[in-house]
Amino acid sequence: MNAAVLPQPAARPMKLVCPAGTPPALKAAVDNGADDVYLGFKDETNARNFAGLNFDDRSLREGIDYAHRKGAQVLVALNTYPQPGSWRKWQAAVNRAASLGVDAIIVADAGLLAYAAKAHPQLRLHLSVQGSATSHEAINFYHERFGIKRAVLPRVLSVEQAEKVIARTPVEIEVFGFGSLSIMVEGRCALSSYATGESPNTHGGCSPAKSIRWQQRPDALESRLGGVLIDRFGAEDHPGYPTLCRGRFVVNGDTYYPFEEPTSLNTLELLPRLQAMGVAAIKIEGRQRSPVYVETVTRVWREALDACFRDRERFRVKPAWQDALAGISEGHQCTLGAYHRPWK
Amino acid sequence: MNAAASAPRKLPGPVRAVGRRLPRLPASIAFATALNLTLRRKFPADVLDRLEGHTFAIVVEDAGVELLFRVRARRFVPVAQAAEPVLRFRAVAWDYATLAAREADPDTLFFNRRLVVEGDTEIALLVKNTLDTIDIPRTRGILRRVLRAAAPGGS
Repeated sequence: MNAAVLPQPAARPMKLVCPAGTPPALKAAVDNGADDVYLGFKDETNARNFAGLNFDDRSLREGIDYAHRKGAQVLVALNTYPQPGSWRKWQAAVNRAASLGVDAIIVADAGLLAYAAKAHPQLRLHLSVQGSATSHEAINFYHERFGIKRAVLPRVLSVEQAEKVIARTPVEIEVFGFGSLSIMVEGRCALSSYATGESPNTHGGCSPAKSIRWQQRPDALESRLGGVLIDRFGAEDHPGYPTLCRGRFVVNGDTYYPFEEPTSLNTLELLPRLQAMGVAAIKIEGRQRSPVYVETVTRVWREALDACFRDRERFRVKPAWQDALAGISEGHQCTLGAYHRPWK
Repeated sequence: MNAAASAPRKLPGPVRAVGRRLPRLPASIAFATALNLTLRRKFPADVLDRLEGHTFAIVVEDAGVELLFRVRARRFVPVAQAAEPVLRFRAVAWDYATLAAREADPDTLFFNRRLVVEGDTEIALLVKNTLDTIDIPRTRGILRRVLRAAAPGGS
């Protein structure tokens, strides 16, 4: 779309929503200009349930204090699905988040949304990307039934499709701007269960560390998940996270990535359009990444969002931004993902 | 700065030559002592308990040095030899220093094959994430100054 025919300028920059797996990452996000920081508890109530990662009550309380002193907000991801017999754990997590004074919770499960809306009517609710709501009808349903204030769009929509959703809902829309990509059947993917017996929706991770083996062979570095060979990397190859959806397999005699090549999403060049469409917030993936990653990505995206807000028509992606982001990306290839594709 | 994006720097030849002649145990004693002084109190007790009895190896490839230590009674203890450590890290001294100074991202070094991790992935992740949790601003400040001074064009 040509910037000259776009609607009136936005009243404020799009919000920058950054990941934090640890307190230093939270500080890095806040110090470098995040509006919102999202994080999780140390258990399977969130989709980055990895050893040593995430927050207990004390570190979350300190993190909220730090963020609020500097004008940022803290969102807690409770974005996995309670299982029969474990409902109370998810319910307790909602209560913990509310009592610690978080600014919003990010939830996928409709039952958990219903509980949170009833038990904590003042608590702001965001619909997680794991909720897999790709249409305005679905998002408006969650708004009417549970009062959600923001929804995170799954990474399967083109820009045109996202624009139509935004035009037909009163709910703030958050979209992914940067980070690792997978096949993005968010909230509905059980692929890893075939190799590990666990899925991100139930246990909070699609490549649980206990199932991963890296082995250096004379000719290649091999990665395995639950015993399944995911990929072999020669001396010049760049390994990525070993998930089934980014595995390289032999299919009918050809060896290739049948699901998806390991790439990273980077939508800097789409910012003027996303702003004009009325996108409320841009999400950065990577709660499993280090404080250095969070610092680098937050700094670049803060600068880019502010530049876009100041003058959308003259906005240009700076090579220095792309260099900084390419240096920390998985797969060393950046794409626009589903935002730009010829088929719908 | 994202040091991982820049090219790796190797130790000068004379330093490498000295490193290769160093006996392993004194180097491991010095390293374990440094860990106890800087990191031990910052490590959560439950994490040290998880690591109890395990041996770790840090290979500084350009120095030709392998540092070995074990976690015992919540302390880092030097080890002369280990049949097979639970984890072995391989990288050059510069990359270890940039990681310790929090100037490089460990996943990026791993994607670039500059940090090799062999062994138990779950323990590796626990160690990585715990190190990411620890704030040691004074030590990191000193390291950053040393790195800047050592970098080409540094003062």
